[in-house]
Amino acid sequence: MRHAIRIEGPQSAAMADAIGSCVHCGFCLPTCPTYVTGGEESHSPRGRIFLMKDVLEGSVGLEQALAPIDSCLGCQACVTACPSGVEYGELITAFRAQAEPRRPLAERATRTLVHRTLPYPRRFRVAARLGRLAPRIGPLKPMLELLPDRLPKRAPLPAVFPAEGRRRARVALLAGCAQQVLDPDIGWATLRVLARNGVETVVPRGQGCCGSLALHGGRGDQARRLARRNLAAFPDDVDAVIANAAGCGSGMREYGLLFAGEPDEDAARALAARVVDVSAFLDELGLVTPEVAKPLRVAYHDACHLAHAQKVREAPQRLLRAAGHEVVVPDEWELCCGSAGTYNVEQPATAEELGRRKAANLRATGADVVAAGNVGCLTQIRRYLDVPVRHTIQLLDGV
Amino acid sequence: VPVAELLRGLREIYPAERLLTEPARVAPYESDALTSFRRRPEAVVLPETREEVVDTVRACHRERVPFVARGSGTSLSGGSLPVEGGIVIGLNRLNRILRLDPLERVAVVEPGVINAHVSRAAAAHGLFYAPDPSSQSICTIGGNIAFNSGGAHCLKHGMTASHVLGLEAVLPDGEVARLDSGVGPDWVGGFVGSEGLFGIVLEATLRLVPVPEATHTVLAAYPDLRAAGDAVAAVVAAGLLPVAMEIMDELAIEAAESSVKPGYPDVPALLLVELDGERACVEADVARLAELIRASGATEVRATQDAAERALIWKGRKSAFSAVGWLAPDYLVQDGCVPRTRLGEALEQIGRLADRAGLRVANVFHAGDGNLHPLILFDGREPGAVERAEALAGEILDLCIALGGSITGEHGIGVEKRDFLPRMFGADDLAAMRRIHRAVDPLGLANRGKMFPARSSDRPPAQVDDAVRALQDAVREHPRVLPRGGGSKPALSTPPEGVTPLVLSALRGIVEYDPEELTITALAGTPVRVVQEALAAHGQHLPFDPPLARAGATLGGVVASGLSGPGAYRYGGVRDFIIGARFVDGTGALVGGGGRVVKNAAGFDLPRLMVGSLGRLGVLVEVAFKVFPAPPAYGTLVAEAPDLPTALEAMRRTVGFDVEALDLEPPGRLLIRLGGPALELRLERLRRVLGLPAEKVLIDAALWDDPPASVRITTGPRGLARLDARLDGVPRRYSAGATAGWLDWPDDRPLAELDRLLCDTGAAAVRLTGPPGPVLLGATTGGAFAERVRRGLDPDGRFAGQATVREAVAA
Repeated sequence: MRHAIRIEGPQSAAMADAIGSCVHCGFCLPTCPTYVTGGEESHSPRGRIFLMKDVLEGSVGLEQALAPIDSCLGCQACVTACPSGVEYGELITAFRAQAEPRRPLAERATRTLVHRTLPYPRRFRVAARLGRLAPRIGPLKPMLELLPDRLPKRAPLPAVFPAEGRRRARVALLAGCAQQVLDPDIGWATLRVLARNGVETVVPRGQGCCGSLALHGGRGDQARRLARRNLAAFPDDVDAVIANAAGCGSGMREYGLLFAGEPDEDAARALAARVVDVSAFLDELGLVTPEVAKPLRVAYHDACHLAHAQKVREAPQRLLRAAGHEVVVPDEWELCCGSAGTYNVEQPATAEELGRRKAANLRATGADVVAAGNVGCLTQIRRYLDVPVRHTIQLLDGV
Repeated sequence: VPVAELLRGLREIYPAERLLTEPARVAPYESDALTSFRRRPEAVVLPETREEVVDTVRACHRERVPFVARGSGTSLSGGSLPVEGGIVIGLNRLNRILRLDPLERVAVVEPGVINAHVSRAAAAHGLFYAPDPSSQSICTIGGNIAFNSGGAHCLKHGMTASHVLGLEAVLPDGEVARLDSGVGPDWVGGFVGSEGLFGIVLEATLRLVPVPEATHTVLAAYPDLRAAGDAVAAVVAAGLLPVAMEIMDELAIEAAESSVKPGYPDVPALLLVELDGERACVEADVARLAELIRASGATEVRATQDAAERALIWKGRKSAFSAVGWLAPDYLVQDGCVPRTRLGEALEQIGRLADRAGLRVANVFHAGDGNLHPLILFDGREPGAVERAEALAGEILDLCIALGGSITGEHGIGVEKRDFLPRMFGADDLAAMRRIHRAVDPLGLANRGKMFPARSSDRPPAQVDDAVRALQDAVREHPRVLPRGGGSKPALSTPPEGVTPLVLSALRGIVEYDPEELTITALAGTPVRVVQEALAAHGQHLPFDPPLARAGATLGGVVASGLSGPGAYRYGGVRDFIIGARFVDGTGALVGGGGRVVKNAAGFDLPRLMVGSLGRLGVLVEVAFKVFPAPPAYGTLVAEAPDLPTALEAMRRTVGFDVEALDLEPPGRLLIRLGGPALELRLERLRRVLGLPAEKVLIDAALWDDPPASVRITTGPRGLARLDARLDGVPRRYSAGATAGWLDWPDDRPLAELDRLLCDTGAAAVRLTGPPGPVLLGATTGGAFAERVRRGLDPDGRFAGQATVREAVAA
């Protein structure tokens, strides 16, 4: 699409590139969760690109465009569907960053509260406790509703977890923030499975939230602040930096763009290049563990930030099969479950509709258990589905 | 205003969330998959029932507002481009499959059902819906029917028309018709492919066919396109009937590999042949096909091994159009048909035409049908590239006609190819089609502006004549009248007490535009934007930048108000470009003056008399302008002088530059616009000559938007400093080398004060906004001559609406 956007700096160049490569063919529409549920052009990738172009060119006011821009889950299913190679993810992230300071104050306050709580395990635990004591009202209500009835006990990960037998690799693990509160066993299962497959894991002290919630929420400064801690914390003498939450992995892989034009850009690009999802890493390495004792029929749920943002689809399924499970893929696999970072906090109605739709598709597979590679998806799907939902790594762990 | 009336009616039908009017919700409907055309609709409605569709069409008919039906907006010919001043009816939510009968092998569906969903629903019964346009994952059945969509598998299955057995449709006046294929003419077939001009499909009965037992897909590589094309002819000649035969050239292969990565061999030409049917038959045909391909000089042959591989091969082919986005910033998709036997010849000639034009063309096409899809690659940022690409597209279409083919195989005429329709059909053929169109839709409401050539009025002539007659009657009937166009200058068009408004919205449309003649004739109620878009499509423009175009100004309003924009600086204003006019005078007679040629010295110059006449001499019906080629690009130098006298002094130093426009923003900002080539360099030279701090702006459109103003003044650089000194605190900008100015005179300051100020400095002004009343301020000219001419054209004083402030005070 031709445009007349003024290019100032790497962020606007990325936006102009994405807009320029869109040909408006509409192939993205059937995979867009908000278009599929609402059927309105402004709530589709193509429509949003049109609007962002109009805003950047100055013919539509930013305030008017915010509702459709905010309704985007950032799932990037459109990127998978796009034949023209539009980097929609880069476009919307940069656009949101530009839009953030121009939002109304009250709205910013709510968003700030969420963004200052979720990514910090201690604050999240406190909020969770308070939330159960006090009535669930106010801006944090949807976030607190995500919580299970009983929060699992804290189970901090060790600094080093040695390999069993001959050491085949040495990796560093991103522990994750909300994940440590909501489901600490995912981290432990990761350590155990890696160890059994000959991998030594270090969990660097000083690491923190990957920053992707902030990055995708348009809060570049906060994202950079969080990311800088990780730039300092993660060693470069490891074979890979492992993420076991799809959103975090994809967020860290975006560090290059996050720091584009800044002094830390080189370091950020180097760290980003070493980040890999635990499933892709294990698939590449090859499992050496025997099949699980109790094979199951597993419905594999594609987490958007794994399938669409990181293009990791086959690896987890191959691993599950190698572990002896039967794997089935639900209808509309490409459609987001509605979790999408802070989306189920910010747009609860759409999130619920998508959650129910995903649950119905998963239930229809007749599977014993659902596997997914992202704690956000697990939490969201559990609310609507009566079938057990586990992280892929937990099913490899033989649970 | 008819649209406002219509919106009132639509609010009774729709809840707010399904009646879209806010810019951010309407803007994404501005174009379909042909983004070179954009037009913002007044509103978008999203009906959920057929009753809502019918009620909407009836409301549109009642208010005479045109409508465009839209599915998923995937048309490549601009088929669902909104129409100026009209609404869009989005049919996506009418997406129910009402009945699926495996015995009758039919599916009864609503128009918003997605093509692929029909096959998905029929799969359980071993059936599918055969037409498969590349966009089948999202395009809707309603759109497929409107444009008789094809796809890759037409060779065996035929196009959409062959798969629609019955229709229920709402005609453009709101009447509902049921069409069934049965005894009598094929009404269904006649409706399919009518590009929305006959109305909106409410329900369609589709034919389903059995999923073949076996499918066999072969890829064959060739050293050139001609060899691949000849292989197609050989396969058909041997009596085989593959379900699909597709050819891609190396650019198209490169595009597909950049995006979908289907694993095609890297060769100059690739032929894809698919056989399907009962296993035994397919197996027999596979052997014959292998032999034919061996004999045709293929350098490499590969058969797909399983359904997954076949799906990937097809995904690559079906993504090829969009994937071309990887190869070039811009491209044009063409769609022409030639007889199969002349495929090789056509491809060679396209190659030669492309070389001559200096452009790359990717070819990916339905070879089995002779349906070519040349993709012309270009970079729209290069000056002249768009025009060269469009010219090449035109040559390719001419080639298709010359070879005995068609200008569209499956994308339709839409808005893209309507100027080519007369090259394919004779005058009598077209006249017959127009008669049918007029009989079905006398008001031209349904998808107006599509299929038929733009050169004649978008309105059926009969309706124009009616509107003119009504206007004449109104002038004769009412003692005092005031014409009104787009309402962009309310002070000039709001009738005072006792004056009857004459609304010109029925008189819109381009009557004649011949780019080679550099002239355009349009009805007076035509929005300036419509004219600008039509001209821009041929790289031409009205150089005087008619003001308030975005606010809805009409051509008639521009002439009657005599207003020109910044571009008047170089070539002159509206008075220098008008060459003809027709108007209704005060006696109700329809008077014509001037003509459609650019030099004309016969008789009184009535057209010029109409410029700035403010509706006091006649009601404009039609105006003719000369037009100029537009510069491919503009750039503006924004220079900052410390004060107005210094800025005016600096103006003198621009002599020697082809300055397109020159504006002054007090206290001392100068905006100087250049057009044409080497902008960066020329702006730099200008900057040095001016000797003022300055910034070069290459994307400068926003700098030249109409400034907010309640009054427009006529002045000159000489007295400007004196006048400006007394305007302190009034937002203002001087335009066209300080010969004009836009003032935002505050409502709470008396107009008499401004009037005195203007008289003192020899300036004059016309009010643009505010309540009805006197509109002229400052010095007036004409005197006794003006009064006598007025008496000649308006003996009974029917057009006495507009007075000066002093006349008002005297009265």
